Amino acid sequence: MTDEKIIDLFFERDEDAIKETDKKYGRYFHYIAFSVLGSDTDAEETVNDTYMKAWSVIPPKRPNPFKIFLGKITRRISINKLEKRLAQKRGGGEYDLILDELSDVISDNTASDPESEIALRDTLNLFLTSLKATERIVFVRRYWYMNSVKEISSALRIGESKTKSMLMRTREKLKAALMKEGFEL
Amino acid sequence: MTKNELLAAIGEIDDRIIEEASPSGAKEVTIPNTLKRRNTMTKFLALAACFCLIVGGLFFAFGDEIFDGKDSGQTPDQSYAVWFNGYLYEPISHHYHEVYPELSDIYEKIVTGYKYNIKEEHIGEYLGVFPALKDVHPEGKAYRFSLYPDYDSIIIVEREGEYSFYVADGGILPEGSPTDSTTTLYYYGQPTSFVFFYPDESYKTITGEELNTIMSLLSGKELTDYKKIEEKVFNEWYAERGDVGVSFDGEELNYDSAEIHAEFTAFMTEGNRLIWMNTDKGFKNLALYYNSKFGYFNFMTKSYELTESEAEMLKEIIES
Repeated sequence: MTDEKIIDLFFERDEDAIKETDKKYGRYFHYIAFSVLGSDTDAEETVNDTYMKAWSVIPPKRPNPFKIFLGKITRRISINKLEKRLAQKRGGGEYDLILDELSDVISDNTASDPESEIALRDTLNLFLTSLKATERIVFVRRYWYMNSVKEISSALRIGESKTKSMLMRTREKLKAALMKEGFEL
Repeated sequence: MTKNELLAAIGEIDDRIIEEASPSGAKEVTIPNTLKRRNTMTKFLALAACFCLIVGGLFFAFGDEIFDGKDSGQTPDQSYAVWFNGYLYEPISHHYHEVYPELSDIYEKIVTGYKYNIKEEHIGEYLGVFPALKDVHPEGKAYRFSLYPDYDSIIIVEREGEYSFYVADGGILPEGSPTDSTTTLYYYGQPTSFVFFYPDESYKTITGEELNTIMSLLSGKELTDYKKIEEKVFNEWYAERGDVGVSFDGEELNYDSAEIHAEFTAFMTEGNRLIWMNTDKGFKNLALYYNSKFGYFNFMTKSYELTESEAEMLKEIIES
């Protein structure tokens, strides 16, 4: 079923919308949630939360691309869950490592205002499109999909050390790009 | 700024960038059959089709870096090839639908004669939603083909209101990359050796060094005239197999599976070898047709014509 038809089902408040979304993209959302949370049960719960969120925002929204719109929701819900878990000291696995790596780019400073959040997103987009495709994919696999280095290496058939050094170089470049745009790091 | 804010901002990056990195293992589509390992007969049929299609080659992109091809005149014609998402694409042959059977489903609808005749109204139905990225050829706009939404092997490119299929044929080496085959393979997401598929399903692996030798052997030997190549390969193919049906230049002949299989078996017992590889990005990576009289080496579906002695050298590498 096409995305448009699935969205039509949401608009008609037809519960098949969830069924069809799950059939088409369930594995993708599960992948995102599992990468962050590292637990099948939590991932399943997150995917269900994603569908609930989708149900509440469509309509009025008619997202395009549908898959990535919901993927972003899945990622946000997953991170929220993980942060709650961390507050209960249950361990954050890959998430902890990723935050550590981002210390290369910024040292936790004061929180930013909403305007600079938009500027930051724009700078990130520009920065990422300036990278070579492989570097960009490796970066997004690590910091968006939160894949482990091993998973990235295996998926892209690159050595782990190469993946690590590519990530390190990209973080350095990102730091330089952010500084150039005047972000306080 | 905090690390969590940075991570949250990364979460909101452009949809296309997220989609580009979308992990294939979690894709919602079924892997097309053409991308799965084939049985012998299927491989043979694919190769048969491969002979009928000759498009540009990996060496357009890698010539200088890989095997000192500076004098081989392999500079890509930018008005012909298209860079998209880090890879070089060239127009595909009209026979490509035989290599990608899924193309056949829509073949009748969008083909006029031997030319893909994609119209604007086909967008949405047949074309994906992949708008131009920064590195797309400035003259054109690229679309993912909806039948292969997660693979980069075939895209559709719009140029001056005309739409045509392009196939991935090369890539851009990262700056400062070593100039060896291992780098090439790495960049194509390949293991650092090729696996040779034999009819009996046993494998032979060649080393990076052997691959370099093969590349040197092929340097400057590629056939570049698109139409002539098709004609030549067709003629050779037809001469080898006589009445085996093929399609060429308006002449539609029927395949006979049993007959092809018998021909194929005979062909292989004469010491010829076939290689066929797919990649996780859908690239048809390597195919080799070879015999003791002459050799055609199709790399990324590009053809090379070898002399008898060169063919013998190739044979030694393959059979050692």
